[in-house]
Amino acid sequence: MKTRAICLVFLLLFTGGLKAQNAGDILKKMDEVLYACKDQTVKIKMVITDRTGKESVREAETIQKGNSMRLFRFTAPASQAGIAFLSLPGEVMYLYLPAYGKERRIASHIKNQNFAGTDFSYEDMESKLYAERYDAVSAKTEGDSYILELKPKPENKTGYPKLVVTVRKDNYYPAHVTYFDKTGKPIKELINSRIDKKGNYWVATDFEMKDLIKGTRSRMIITDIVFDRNLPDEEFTVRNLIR
Amino acid sequence: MKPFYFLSLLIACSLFSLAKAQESLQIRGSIFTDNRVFTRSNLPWSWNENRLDVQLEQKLEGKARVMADVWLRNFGSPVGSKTIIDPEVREAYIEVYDFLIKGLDLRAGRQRIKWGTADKINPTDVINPYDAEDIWDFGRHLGSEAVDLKYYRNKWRFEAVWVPYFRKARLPLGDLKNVFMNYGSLPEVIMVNVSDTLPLLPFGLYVNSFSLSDNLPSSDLVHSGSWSFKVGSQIAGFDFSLSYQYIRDGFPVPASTKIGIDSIDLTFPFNAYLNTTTTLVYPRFHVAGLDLAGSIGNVGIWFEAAAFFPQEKIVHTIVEPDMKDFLLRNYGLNYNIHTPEFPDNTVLEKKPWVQYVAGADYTFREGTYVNFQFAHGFFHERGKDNLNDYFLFRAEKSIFDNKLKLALLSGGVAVSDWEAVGDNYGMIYTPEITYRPNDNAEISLGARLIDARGAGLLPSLKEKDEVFFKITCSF
Repeated sequence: MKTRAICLVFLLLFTGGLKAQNAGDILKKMDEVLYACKDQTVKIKMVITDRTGKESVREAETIQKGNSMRLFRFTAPASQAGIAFLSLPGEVMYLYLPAYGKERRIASHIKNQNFAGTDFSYEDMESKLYAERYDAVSAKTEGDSYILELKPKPENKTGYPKLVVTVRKDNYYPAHVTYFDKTGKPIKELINSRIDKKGNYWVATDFEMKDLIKGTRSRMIITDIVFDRNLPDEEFTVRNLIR
Repeated sequence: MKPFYFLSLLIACSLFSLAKAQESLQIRGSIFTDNRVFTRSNLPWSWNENRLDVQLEQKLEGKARVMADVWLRNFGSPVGSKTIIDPEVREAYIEVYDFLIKGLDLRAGRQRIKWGTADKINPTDVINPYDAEDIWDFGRHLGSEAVDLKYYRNKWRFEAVWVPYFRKARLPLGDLKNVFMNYGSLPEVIMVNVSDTLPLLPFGLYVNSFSLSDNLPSSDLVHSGSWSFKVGSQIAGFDFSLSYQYIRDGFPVPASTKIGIDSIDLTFPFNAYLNTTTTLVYPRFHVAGLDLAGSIGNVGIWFEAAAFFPQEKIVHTIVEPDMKDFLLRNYGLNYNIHTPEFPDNTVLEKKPWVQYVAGADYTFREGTYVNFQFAHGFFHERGKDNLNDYFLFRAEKSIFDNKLKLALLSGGVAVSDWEAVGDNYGMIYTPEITYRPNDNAEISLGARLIDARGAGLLPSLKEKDEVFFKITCSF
């Protein structure tokens, strides 16, 4: 009896440990797919819908190198054109507002806030690996997807205590992400409704972030994307931010 | 003047070779109306400004940029109901990237060069003269004709600015001209020795007219030009920079006042009606600056300081009126009159002082943004003994999908004498509500309510409580 109990405990521990490791592997593979390219240059059309259904359209360009540097700039409409955000390693972020005429260093307290009236937070605009910020605590299979539950690492000061990510089995691209608050209530969801292969890389060309509390949503449609232009690090500097 | 325009022409010509690779001309701007009334019983207008701001930008395939910013304005108040201000070129410059060598950017023309990491109150931001036309829009500067070179290498940034022409600050409109200036004042009564056999007689002094005469520096590079240098980088996650500037202050100080007599009342009580002409000069400073920006934990922090070293001491001398000569010429009276001397007043000591600003900001999880700054010395204050302390606070929260922004906890406290705070303070409460019906429009409603005692900026404005209403439409 005692031996059976001990064996059962070992079995549970072993299989539990295997599931956690698989979850971590899946998360790692997901990051490899998301950040497979060396760099990318993207043109985006953004449709922001308020709770009454009223839409406003913006256009933007973004460049990204690896998973540590990203520069995002609005190009339309006129009131938003030129607003730009630069994210660098070490939680270094800058915001440029043309009306202000100068870049402003912003601290990480802003990460949880929405960027420029969209449903994407500054944290969402970063380009960090999920595996660097989250631990995959569980994984299960549902149809042709893996469902991962992610919890933030202790050093990750995030506004999302839990994420549930639906990862496609065929290409390890996240099809859906649900963001939860500390009470376990879902507050946002990211839906990658169209995932295409461009050259060697998978990319979501049409995705939407929904705020489940406010009833608003922001949809991004990629109108042009170019990979691996060998963007130099100089493109991700304050100098380029304020041009 | 010629070499400056030649340089601009050279740059412009080189840009034409890139014309075939240019993007389309961008035209954007805004229409803005700012309306304020005093909160006195009949609600008089304090400000009505209607502004069209047009910006033109032409980018040239990432190699250069041409930019112009023009204001067209009309004021209903305070300068008069039918006054139209001439179109004003705020900025017009050419910017060339990787000019001559990689990493070197050149910008030439009329431009606004903003230095400093603090929020709106920037002690090191002295390249451009202040545009203090609207006293509540502090932080606004006029553009300067300048050549600005920036060199970037790794994490380092070097900047050198040459401003060949001096441009004075723009003073406030209407009756607020004296808010930032102290021209001195005459006593209300002086005792005049009319005769050796008579006692001193009191004469009331009344100033009929007061005029200012600018003693501008001569238009040459030695007297008119200014130079600024800055080096910056990042250390331990903080952005920092050190700067040195040799500038001429855009705010003048009085150097001499000549008093003329319009008339004298020779019946008791005796009064003299005067006209005064004050000559203003624009002193030179060496300025050493430092600024830092970064974060501690999740809190953003910044610090900016500037040490001012005046090049010379300036004493305000008053040339007394010659009453003896006036009485002789106008009344044929020959009295051996001696008017008392008005003492000279040192308006600027040749001693350094330091102005600094420290601030922090934070955004709470539920979205309230708070910003706090402490400033020792405001932009118009000069001299170690004339620096007041300011505590500024603002809390903002956006609601209804960021359509409504509430800044109901906003204002500041100023202290001009810590040894008698109760008699030397100023408090200002500046609540504001902003509504953004769409991306291109913004409507603001707010107030400025002041309680103050003693001397200083806020006490001089304590009768000027007002409410305001602004609309901005961008295109």
